[in-house]
Amino acid sequence: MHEWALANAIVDALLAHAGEPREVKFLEIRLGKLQSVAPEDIEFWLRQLLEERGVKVGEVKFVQEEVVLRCRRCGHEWSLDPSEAPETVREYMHFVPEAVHAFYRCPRCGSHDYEVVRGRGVYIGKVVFR
Amino acid sequence: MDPRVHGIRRMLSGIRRIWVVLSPKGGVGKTLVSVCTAIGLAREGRTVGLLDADVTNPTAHIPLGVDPRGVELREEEGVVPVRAKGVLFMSPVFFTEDRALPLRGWEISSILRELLAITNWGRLDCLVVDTPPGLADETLELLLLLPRKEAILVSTPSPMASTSARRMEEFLRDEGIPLLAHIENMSPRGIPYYPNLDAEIGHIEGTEFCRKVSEIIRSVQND
Repeated sequence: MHEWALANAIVDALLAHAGEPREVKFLEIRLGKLQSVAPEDIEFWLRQLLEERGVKVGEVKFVQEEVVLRCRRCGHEWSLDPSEAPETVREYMHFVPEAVHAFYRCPRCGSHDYEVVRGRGVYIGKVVFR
Repeated sequence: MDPRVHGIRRMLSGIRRIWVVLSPKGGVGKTLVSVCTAIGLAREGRTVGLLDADVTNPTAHIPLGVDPRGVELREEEGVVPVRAKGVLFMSPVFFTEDRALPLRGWEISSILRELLAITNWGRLDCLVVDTPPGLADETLELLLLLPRKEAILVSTPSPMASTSARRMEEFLRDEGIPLLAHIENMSPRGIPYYPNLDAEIGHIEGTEFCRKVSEIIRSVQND
């Protein structure tokens, strides 16, 4: 599944950062709501993939980030809730969050030229190794 | 920390060669060269992928005969590319319902990182990457992210295209990126001009254009 690839990228990034840690004591993952990734799926794969590589896993905390969009043309800031999007559109943004630009326009001026200020995708927030 | 750069290394680790098809100018036939390169390799029995990295204006699905509205992507350790004319194919068009996708700067880098980090190519002899014209965000990001890359440069005999091609050759040399081939399209020195090619897009694999591209690629691929 697609979450396997996302989790593997996190694992590779952690191990590249820390060399050969024995334990990830604490890990904070930030999940932008635009990507609609289920934290339980990411956590399942994170624990499995890290343990397969001999790394113990302590607390994994997920922080869900609200989506904030800012129009470059008129400066308007707004949010959107992907759970209210049609299923196909939600699925596109789940794979590729930038797809939002194909389906949504600024509610004030109608432009597609806006930036995703927050809430895009999957990032590593904090990590504590042992 | 953005983990995708690490994910990309893993997802591309099963690919033996990566050929980035570049052109400094638009309209020189780069997408058709990309598609015919991939089809030609597949017909020789190679396992080949094609990535449409022209993220704001993807069109490689047209000569490949793929209707993006009919595609249902399968998930298996990532997203599995679609098979068309013997080629494993991934395009941003699969996520936009063929609508305009206006992106700037970092957003272009970000969509490329996402596509590369989630696409499960498996083991490939070669990945062909079609790019937008010029030396801007998409091309620079790809040249940064892709390992083991070689360039295929496409131009035409026009003085504007050939001047731009010379600049791009110099850039590639300075960056240490091997130039596999410089193909001059619509030219007696490379691929001749085929006036009816647009009418044959739907069965590009059967055209003289495609045979000519394959012949050139066979002569330079060194394996």
